[in-house]
Amino acid sequence: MFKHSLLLVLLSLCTILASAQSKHTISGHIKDGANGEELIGATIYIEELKSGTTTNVYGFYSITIPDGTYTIVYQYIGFDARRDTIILNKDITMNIEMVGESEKIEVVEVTGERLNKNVEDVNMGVVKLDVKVVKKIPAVFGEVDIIKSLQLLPGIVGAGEGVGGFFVRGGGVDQNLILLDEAVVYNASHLLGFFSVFNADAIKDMEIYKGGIPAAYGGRLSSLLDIRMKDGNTKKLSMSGGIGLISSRLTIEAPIIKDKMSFLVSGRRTYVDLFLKASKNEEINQNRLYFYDLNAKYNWKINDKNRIYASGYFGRDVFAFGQNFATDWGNATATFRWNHLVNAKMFANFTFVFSDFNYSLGVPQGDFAFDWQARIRDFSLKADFTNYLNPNNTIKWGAIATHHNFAPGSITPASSTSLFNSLLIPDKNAMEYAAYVSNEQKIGEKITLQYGLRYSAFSQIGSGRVFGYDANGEVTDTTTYSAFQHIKTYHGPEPRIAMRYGWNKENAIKANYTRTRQYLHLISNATVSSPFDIWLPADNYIQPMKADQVSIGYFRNLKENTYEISVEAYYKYMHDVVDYVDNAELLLTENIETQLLRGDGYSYGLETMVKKQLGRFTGWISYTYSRTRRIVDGINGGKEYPVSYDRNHNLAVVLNYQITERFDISANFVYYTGLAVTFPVGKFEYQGANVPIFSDRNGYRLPGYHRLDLAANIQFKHKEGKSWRHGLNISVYNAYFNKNVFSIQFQEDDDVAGKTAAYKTYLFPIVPSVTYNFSF
Amino acid sequence: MKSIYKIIPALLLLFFVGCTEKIDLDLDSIPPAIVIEGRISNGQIFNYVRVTQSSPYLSDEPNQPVLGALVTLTEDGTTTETLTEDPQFPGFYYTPMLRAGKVNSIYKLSVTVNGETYEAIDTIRPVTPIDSLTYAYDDQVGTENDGYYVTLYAQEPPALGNNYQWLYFSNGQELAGLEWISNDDFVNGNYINFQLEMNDPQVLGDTVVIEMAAISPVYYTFVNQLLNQESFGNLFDTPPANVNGNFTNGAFGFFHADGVVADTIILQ
Repeated sequence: MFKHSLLLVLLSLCTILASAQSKHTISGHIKDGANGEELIGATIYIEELKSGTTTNVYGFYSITIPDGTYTIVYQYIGFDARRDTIILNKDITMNIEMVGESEKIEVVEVTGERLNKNVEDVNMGVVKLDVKVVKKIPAVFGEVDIIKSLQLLPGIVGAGEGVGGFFVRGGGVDQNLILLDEAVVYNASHLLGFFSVFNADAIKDMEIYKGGIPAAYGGRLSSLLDIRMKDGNTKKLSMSGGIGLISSRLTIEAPIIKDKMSFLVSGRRTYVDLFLKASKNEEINQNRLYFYDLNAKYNWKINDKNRIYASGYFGRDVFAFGQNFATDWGNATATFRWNHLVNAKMFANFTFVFSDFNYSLGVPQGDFAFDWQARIRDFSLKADFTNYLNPNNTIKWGAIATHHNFAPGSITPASSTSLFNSLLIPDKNAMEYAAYVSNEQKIGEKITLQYGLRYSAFSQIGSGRVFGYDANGEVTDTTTYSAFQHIKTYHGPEPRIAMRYGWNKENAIKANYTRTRQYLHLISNATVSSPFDIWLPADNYIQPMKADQVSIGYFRNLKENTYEISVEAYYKYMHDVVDYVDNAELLLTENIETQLLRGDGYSYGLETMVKKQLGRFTGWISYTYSRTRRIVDGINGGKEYPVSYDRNHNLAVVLNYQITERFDISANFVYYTGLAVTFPVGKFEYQGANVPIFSDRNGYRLPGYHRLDLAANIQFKHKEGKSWRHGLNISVYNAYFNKNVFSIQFQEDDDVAGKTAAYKTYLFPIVPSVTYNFSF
Repeated sequence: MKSIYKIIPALLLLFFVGCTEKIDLDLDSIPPAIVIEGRISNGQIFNYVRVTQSSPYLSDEPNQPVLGALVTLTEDGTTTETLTEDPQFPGFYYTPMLRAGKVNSIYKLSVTVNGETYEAIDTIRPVTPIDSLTYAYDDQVGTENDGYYVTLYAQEPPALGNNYQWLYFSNGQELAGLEWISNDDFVNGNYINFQLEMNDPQVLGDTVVIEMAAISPVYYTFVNQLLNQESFGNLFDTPPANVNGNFTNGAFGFFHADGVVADTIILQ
C-alpha cells in the first residue's frame, strides 16, 4: 500500500506542475472512412510541439496542450496522412475519418513525421500483427491461422504442427492470457490444434505482449494476446467470405443506423464430415468430425460521450465415431462494454465478461455407455480509466473482479444398461481481484517511462470440499465449505516498469521489468495440451505461480522506416510452476493435489528481427536463441531438465512481393530445434509385455523441423465504381516435402519380425490448396 | 479413460494425411538390471517366480534369464520355503510342490542374485464369487468379429476399493494377457455383467475358463501404468515415466498375491 500512496503523490505533483498555464484538450475518435471501424494505434502529432499521442483500443485519443494555433497530423498505416490546422482556446472534439490510399501499392508518401512506433513506443516485446498480413501468409489447407502466424515472431514457439497452444519466452501454454474482446479464451484450438478458433474475417486488430505486460492486465505469467473483433460497418452493408478446401466463411456487417449503430456476424464451418457421409462404409459414414465458429458484435454510439458494444463468440468441435465414442468441446464468450467519456481528458470503460469452456466425452451406447462433462466458467466486471493529463503524462487506473467456477468432471451412465455409476467431482470456486494504476511519462523527447503497480488477490471460496492428507497422500479428513465461504487467499503486488531512451528518431534502447502472478494452473496429462486438460485454482495445496522478467532491447529504423531492426534479450524466472508425479492419474480424481509437484523454471533468450514494412517487397526475418529449464523436486531426480518445447534455435523468414496491383506472392520458411523428448534406454519383460525403462526427463531431441510454404494471391478484375471484389488464394504448404517428425514411436520392425524399431510419424506431405474469397 | 488420448490422434491422422516411416535412432543403454515377476494365489494354477535381466530397448533378444538365484517365499512371517529352479525353463522358480496360498495371509518374496537381495510383500485378498457365465452370438455390426462371446455376472461388494484382474482361458490357453483389469471406482456395489470382448470370438464346442482375481491396489496401479507406458511417444500420451514395481533395491517387476475364483462354461 505504501507504494500506492507514493505513486499518487507523484501523480498529483505532475498535475500541479502542469496546471500553471491555460490549457485545453483536443479529443475524439479516429475511424476508417470506408467502413467506420475505429482505428487502434493511429497517431496524432502536433507539429509545433513535436509531440503527440495515439488512439486507444477504442479509437479514442485526447491531448491537452497550451492554447495556441497548431497543425495536427493524423496518421495510420495504409491511409493518407491528414493535416488540420486548429486554433485552440477551448476544448475541441475532432472526430476524424481517415481515407484509405485507394489501391495504391507505391506505399505511403507520408509528409512530415513518420510512423515510428518501433522506436518511439516505450513498450518492448510487443508485436502488433496486421490481419491483412496474416491473411497473406501461406497456411495449411489455406486456413488463415492467427496463432500459427504468431509463431513466426521471435520469442514465440509452437508445440509443433497439428497440436495446439504456443509458448512465449519459455512460458507454458497456460501462461498466455488470450483475450477476445476482453473475454478470456481458455482453449484457442480447433481439431486439437490443427487450426485456431479465431476467424480472421471477424478480427480487427491483435497485439501480443511477450514482456512488459501493461498493469491493466494480469492473471497469466508470460504473455498477453489481445484480440479485438471488428465493430461492424457503420457506413453500408458489406459482406465477405470464402470457400476453402475444408471450410467456408461468411461475414455480414451493416449499419442499423448509419454512423451510429451497426452489427457484424461472422461464421465459419468445416465440412470434412460431409465427405465422410458420402462413404458407403457404415463405420465411416456414421462418423462426425467438424468445427464451427460464430462471432457476433453489436455497437451503438449513443452520443459523443457514450458508446456501447456487445460481442460474443461461440465455437465448437464435434467428433463422433459411430456408437463407440463421441466428444465435443468449445468456448463461449460474451462481452458487454460501455465506453464513457467522463470529460475530454478522461476516458472510462466498463466491461462485463462471460467466458466458458467446456467439453464432454463419452460412449453413447452399450454396457460401457457414459457421459463425462467438465467445465470452467468465468464472470468478470471491470472498470478502466485513462486520464490524458498532458502530453507528457497518461495515467491509467482500474480494477477487475472475476468469479471462477471449475467443474473438473462428472460422469453419468448414458444408457439403461450401462455398468457405470454416476460420479461427481465437486466444483471449485474462486474470486480473483486486481486493481492497478500506471503512468506513462515523457521526460523531454528522449526519455519515456512507464511505471505501474498491479495488486492482485485470489481467494478459493465455497462451495467446495477440501481434503487433508497424511504423508502418504491418503485422505485423513474432509472439510466442507458452503457457498462463498472463504477457503484460502493469496495476494501480492505486480510491479511493471518500462523505460525508453531514444537519442534520435532512428535509435532507441529500452528496458523493462515485469512481475506477474498467476492463480490458475492448467493440469495436463499429456506432452502437449489438449481440450481435456484441467484448469485448477490455487488452493491450500497449489501455490500461485509468479514470474519475474527483465528484458533489454535495441531498436533501430533505417531508410525512413522502411526497415525495422530489433534485438531483445530477456531473462525470466518462474516460481512455483506445477509438474506431475510420474505416472500421474489426473483425470477424474478428486485428490488431484496428491499428483502434483511444485518447482521453479527459468528461461533466457536473445530475439532478433529485421522487418521491411514499406514497398512492394515486405516481410521479416526473425531468429531467436533461447533455453528453458525446470527444476522440480521429485522429477528427474531433482536435476534440472529442459521443457519439451525448449526450442533453442528458431528461425522464421516471411516474405511477400506485390508484383502488380492485383497479384502478389508470398513465401515463408521456418526452422526450429526439435522438441525435447524422453526415450527408452532399456526394457524389461513383464508377462509378455515389453516395458520401457526411460532416460532422464527430456534427454533426447526430435530432429530439427524445417518447412517452406508458398502462396499466391490473385485479385480478379473488378468493375470501376463497383465494390464487388473477388480473388483466389493458392498455397502450397511444405513445398519441398520435408517429412517433419510429429512423433516417434517404437514398434515391431516391419522388416525383421520380433525386433523393435523406431518409426516417425509426419503429418503433412506437400499440401496444395485453393481458397476463393469475395467481398462487397 | 486413457484410450481417448489414443483414439483421437489416431483418427486425426486418418482424416489428415499422417504417414509413418522407419528411422534410425541412436539410443543409449543402461547396464542390465534385475527384473522379477512373481505370483502366488489361493488357486491351484500359476504360482511362479521368474527372474530375468533388462536389455537394451531396441535389442531383439529376449531378456536373459537369471540362473542360480536364491528365491524364498515367506508366509505370514513364519514359514519360509525355498523355490527351486526349473531345469527346463531357465529363469523360472517354483515352490517344491504345487501349493495354494491362503486368503488374508501375507507373503514375502525374496530373491538374492550375486549377493544383492530384492524383496516384495503382498497379501491375498478375498474375492467376490462369479455368479455365472453365459454365452451368446454377437454379430458385432461393422466388424468381422462375429461369433460367440462370454458374459460374466457377479455382485460387486458394497465396500469401495476392490481391484480385479480377469484371466481368460480358451480350451486351456490363456488369452487375455494383462489388459483385463479394473477397479470399482465407477461400479462399486453394482451387480456387474459384461461381455468379454476378445479379439477372436469363440466357436461352439469351446471350453472357456474365467479366473477372477482380487488384486491389491498397488498391483492395479502397476499394471495400469505398465499398459500406459507400453506404448509411448505420441504427444497425447502420458509423459514417459518408469513403471516402478514393489521390489526393494531397484529391481523392476512385481510380486503379487491374488485371491481368485474360477468358473467354466462349455459352449454347446
